Amino acid sequence: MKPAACWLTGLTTPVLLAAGALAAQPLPNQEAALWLQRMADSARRLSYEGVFVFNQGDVMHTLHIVNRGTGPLKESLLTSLDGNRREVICRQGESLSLVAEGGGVRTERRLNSRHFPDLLPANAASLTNWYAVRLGEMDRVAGLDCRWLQLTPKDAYRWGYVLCAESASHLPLKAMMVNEAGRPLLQYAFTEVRIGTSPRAGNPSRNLRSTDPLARGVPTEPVTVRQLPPGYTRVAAVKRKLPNRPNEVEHWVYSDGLTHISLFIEPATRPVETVRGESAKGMLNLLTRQVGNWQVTVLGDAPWPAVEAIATSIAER
Amino acid sequence: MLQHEQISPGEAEQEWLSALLDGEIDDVEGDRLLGRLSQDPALARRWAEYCLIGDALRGDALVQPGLEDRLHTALAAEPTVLAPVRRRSRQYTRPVVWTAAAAAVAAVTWTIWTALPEHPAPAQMAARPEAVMIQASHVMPYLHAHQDFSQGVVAQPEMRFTHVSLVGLEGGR
Amino acid sequence: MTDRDADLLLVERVRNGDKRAFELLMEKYRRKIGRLLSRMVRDPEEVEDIAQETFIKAYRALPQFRGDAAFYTWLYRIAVNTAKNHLAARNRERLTVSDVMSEDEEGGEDRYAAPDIDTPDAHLLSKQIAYAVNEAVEALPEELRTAITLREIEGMSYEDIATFMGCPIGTVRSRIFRAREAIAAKLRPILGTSEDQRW
Repeated sequence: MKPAACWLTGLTTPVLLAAGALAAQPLPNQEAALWLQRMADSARRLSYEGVFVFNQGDVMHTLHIVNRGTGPLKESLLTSLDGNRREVICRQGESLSLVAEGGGVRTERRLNSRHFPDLLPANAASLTNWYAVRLGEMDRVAGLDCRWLQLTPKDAYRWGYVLCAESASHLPLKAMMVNEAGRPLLQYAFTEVRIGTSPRAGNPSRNLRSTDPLARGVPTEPVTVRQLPPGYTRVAAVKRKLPNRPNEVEHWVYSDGLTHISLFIEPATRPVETVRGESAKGMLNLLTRQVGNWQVTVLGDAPWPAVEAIATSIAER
Repeated sequence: MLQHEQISPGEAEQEWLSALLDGEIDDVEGDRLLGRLSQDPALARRWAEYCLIGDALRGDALVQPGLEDRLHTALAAEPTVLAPVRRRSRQYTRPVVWTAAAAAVAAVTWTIWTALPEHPAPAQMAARPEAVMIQASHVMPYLHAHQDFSQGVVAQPEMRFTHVSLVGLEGGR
Repeated sequence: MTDRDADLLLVERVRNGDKRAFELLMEKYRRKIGRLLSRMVRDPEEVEDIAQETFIKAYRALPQFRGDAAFYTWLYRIAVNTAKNHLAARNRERLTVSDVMSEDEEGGEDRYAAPDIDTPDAHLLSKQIAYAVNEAVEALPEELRTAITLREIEGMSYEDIATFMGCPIGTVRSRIFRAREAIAAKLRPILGTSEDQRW
């Protein structure tokens, strides 16, 4: 008998989906696309309010979220319930964070702000090219019935994902990024959620746009990436300042819709040692190297082969 | 093993408590040793010291005046919980689908590269044995910027760095 | 077997009626939980109240703990929920944009000051402990220092540490034990009889 509350799986155990619980065959593309698109749309279009927990390794955060769904006023407000007092207001393409620190409040503007449960791309159907989608069993998360969906990568260039979508609305209630052995690398789960609430009348939101843009378009491209792993396209290219650093860098982002790999390009002021970095469990991989007069850093929530493939095919233009 | 690495027999016996805290003892032994631990105040004191050391290293070394005693008193007042478990097998079976995917992975990787003869052979990574001490703070700005796109919640994972050299690309470019 | 499985062994013992085993779990996690709670709740007395309530709730709920989640993850959730209930009861103010952006704010408000978690004595002792531990670690021979750091800070398993350091697992086990003993020796004078009194 499953408990009513939502239990997170420990990050050292594989996702306990019994062999019989998953259909052996992936869904046909059209059906898979439909499932994914419904989940993607629901996270954007619905209004909902709840609390979710984020878990990566030993890090755990609890956040309260209010999402106001439809139309041009789509906006979400996230409030941290632990750690420093922090609130994030997210709109399409940017976000504003308010962080309580020391005796005051610091504001932080970020490009974009992808957050649970809105993790699938707008064109979710395209994911079927790179992931095999399988339906799993019914479950209960945060007191609601939901259905498991497993996205298995078709190659070594991306991590897998497992999501549980609420039966009526298809809102993801639980989402995990998993490695090739099925072990969770990162997970989100609602502990309580109310779907379809009209958010309480809040204070009028501050206009996020300011005269000082965080990033601007890229006028020149000093390097080129000759070859990309399948499914990855460039989704962003900006010149920007890095947080806590004075210099401007070029920041390009490649994505297959779910996985994101960043490329940072800056002048090499002195000879650059080639350095590989990986996080615990290998979820995040990084390579820094010198290409001509440039220092390039590739950093992604992707398996090492993807970061390596991109990093080794960069050449000076 | 160097001279000073040799362990006296008595020491080897005492290692188990340290290994038990880290979960590095097999189940059967672990259960027996926990029995000893529960009974012996000196061992429990050592367990507490080891816990404190770990917490201090991670920056958690709060002294919580009174809490320790409060917890002890509150627990003593509780009726003893008795809900025995039958020991489950700890063999986690890997879901079938993942095994299939893992096998497919190796094949696809190689296919991608060999299908493109006009490109030079992929660079080989050779890892030099020494680990590099790179400040995590050096990488944090990249990580924060990257997370604008990958996920809105900022996490700060621990990362390990190693020097590598690229073979097969011209002149270190 | 991992850290998480060691907790499960302890849980099993508790469920079989061994209360002392729960004391061992509390010892392992009370500071971590304390730190979590003190970021959500400012009043140190309230932190203690919530911590006690958390552990007692966990003890009572152990029969329902299925063991397919990490014990600490489960404990963490209980702590957060308990804290939230306390805060909800106190009707905590929310930080809003317009509050922040208002020109009238001086910025000197104490609303977000770091929580004052300790009495002066406890704070001092806490610092002494931290200092002693760090000093002790610095004084360790390099292979012991590396081993204890990889274990306690990086959270690596003995197997991974053995690979990283290029030595047998038995050597890793021994190095970590000897590092702990060396650090504990430096701590004992500071702790004095405070650890003795209860056990």
